[in-house]
Amino acid sequence: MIYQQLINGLMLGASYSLVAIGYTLIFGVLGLLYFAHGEVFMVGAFVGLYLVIHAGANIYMALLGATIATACLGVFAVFAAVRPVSKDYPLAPLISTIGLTIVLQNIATYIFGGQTVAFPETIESILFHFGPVTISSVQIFTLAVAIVLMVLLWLFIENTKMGRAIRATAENHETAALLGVNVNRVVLVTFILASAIAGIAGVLDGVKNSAISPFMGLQVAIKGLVVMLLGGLGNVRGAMVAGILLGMIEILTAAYLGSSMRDFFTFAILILILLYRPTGLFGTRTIEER
Amino acid sequence: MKIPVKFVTALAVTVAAFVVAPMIAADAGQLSGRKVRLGAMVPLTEKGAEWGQSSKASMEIAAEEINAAGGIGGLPLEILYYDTRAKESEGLNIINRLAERDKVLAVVGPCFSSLFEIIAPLLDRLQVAMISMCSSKPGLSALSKWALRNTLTSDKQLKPVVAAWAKEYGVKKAVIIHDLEDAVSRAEGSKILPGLLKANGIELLDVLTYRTKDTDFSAQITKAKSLGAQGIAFGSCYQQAAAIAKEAHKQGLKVPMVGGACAGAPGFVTIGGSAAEGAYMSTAAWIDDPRPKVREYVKKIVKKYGKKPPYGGPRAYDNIYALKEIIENSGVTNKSGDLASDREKVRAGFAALKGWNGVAGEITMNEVGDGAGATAILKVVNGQYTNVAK
Repeated sequence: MIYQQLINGLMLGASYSLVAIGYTLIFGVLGLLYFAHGEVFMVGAFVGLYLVIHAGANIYMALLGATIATACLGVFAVFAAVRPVSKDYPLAPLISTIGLTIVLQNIATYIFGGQTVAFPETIESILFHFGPVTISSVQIFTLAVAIVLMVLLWLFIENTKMGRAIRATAENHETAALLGVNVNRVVLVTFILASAIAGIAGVLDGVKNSAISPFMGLQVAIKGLVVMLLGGLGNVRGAMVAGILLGMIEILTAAYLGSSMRDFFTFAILILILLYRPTGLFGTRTIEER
Repeated sequence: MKIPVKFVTALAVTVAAFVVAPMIAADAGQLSGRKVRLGAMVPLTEKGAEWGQSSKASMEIAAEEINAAGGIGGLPLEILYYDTRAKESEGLNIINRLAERDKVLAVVGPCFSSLFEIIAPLLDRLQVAMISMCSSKPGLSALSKWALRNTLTSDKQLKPVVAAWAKEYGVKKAVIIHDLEDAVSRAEGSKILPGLLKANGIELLDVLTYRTKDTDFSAQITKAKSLGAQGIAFGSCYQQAAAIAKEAHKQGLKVPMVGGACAGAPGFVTIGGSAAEGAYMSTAAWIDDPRPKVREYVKKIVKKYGKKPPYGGPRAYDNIYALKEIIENSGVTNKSGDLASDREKVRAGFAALKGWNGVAGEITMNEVGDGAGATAILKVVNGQYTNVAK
């Protein structure tokens, strides 16, 4: 059973990773806790659902549509809740994104209704048996998309000019600006990237759990935050590994100790990390500044 | 000084409006005031929204019909609806507001036992009847004489269902999966279902749990599979029960399932899809009952709400009609000074209902304030609930 549970953990962890990557990207570049990220994830899931139900889209179209929609939402967030807010008050952008969270959730409840809705089967479910482990085609698909996405993001950040600008901005805003990096554009691209990834993660979550609700964002947001702290603030690679780690911990706790202990372990580990390794498991990129 | 004619006319009209109109209204029936006010607390969003939305639609239909036919005692009926969001803190705010600010004669709701359980002890102070149409955790109506439930408790609903399920599928070993945080689900999962499984000769392999907000049930299903479960019994609301059923199918665990009060909503089938097929569910109102009264109600609710409701719908509809009869026939005056005695009359009237003919069947309240009525054994056949009770 343990192998099967590890697969379950890997699946859950991959979705945590995708959300946490967005958090950590934005935190790295702006030093901002972007609260509305969980809601972006939820919007992505619903856009995917509507494309499948009303436009008869297949899963690839649904993923693409959700990516575009949430990328636009990212642009909107920058212009509505980040750029107009004065940076002189460190808490102001946090509050404005909390506001955005509430607005998005209320709009979603209004449009989609306050209910859990079924996410239709878009991938034919076939089971593959490998010794004691059973893996479904759905699991393989969601995991593959998550991994491809993470690899692409990694390549983008390490190897492109924009990626370098993002890293430079994350290290130090002013220096990057002085050296000719257009910080405003970097912030915008970061938001687009982070939001698009969250949108894809939302659709994948719908495919994996077969049901979505307008209130799914908050849970995911909290888990994403924990993963970001575990992996190290602003550390993209850290977020990837820490997400998988958290998924494994949660599943193993639920399987062997019971669901009531699920969050206990998550947050106990978080407290220990904050006490003994405040930079997270894999170190923070922005340690000197903060 | 000459008083303008317009002023005199205006004065006359105002006096007429305040003095004569209420007299006319009072003449039409024995009630005074401008309207009869009832409160409703229902979950319209989040957990179990289908229960709340369909209950609200049912009460709206009842109110429209009553008002079209002349209201209650000649006065229009007004129902104030509040969304509990199935949250305890929200429920406490709402009951205080309904009782003290809105001054309603009685409150219909709340749906969830989790809420009912914490509000019931307050009712002795607030002195207003709270009549639920869904809550089914055993023992809650005994908490206060003002706490009434027009439902069958979950143990009574589930008993025939588990027996029929065990008989059809010949299940020998099963697991229970239940919600840790929802009152009725927890009662079902930790007390009612273990007893019923034992009574039907089924070995209980393990009791697995989850929390209301969980969306990933892979760990529980993998465990159930490794234990060799031949059946799954839910102490769960419909959203999670459906998600668990789907997860089980994804992992290749295609075993018969059975569920109780909250799980047996139509949402279990719409969300669960093919994974819901063959599952047994309990209910406290048979929605496909061929009686004309039920057919008529179903036609109206499907038109308004878009689909068939869980049993909270018909029970909420019945609550409003029963309250109308009680208010008209038990000497309620509806004067603001008589609020306390009016509320007591309404409470006593509801608690004394015997063989009252409603959409949900014949309603008789027992000594603690729980109702009876029609039950059915629901089985999902071709994506529809079918009553398989003989």
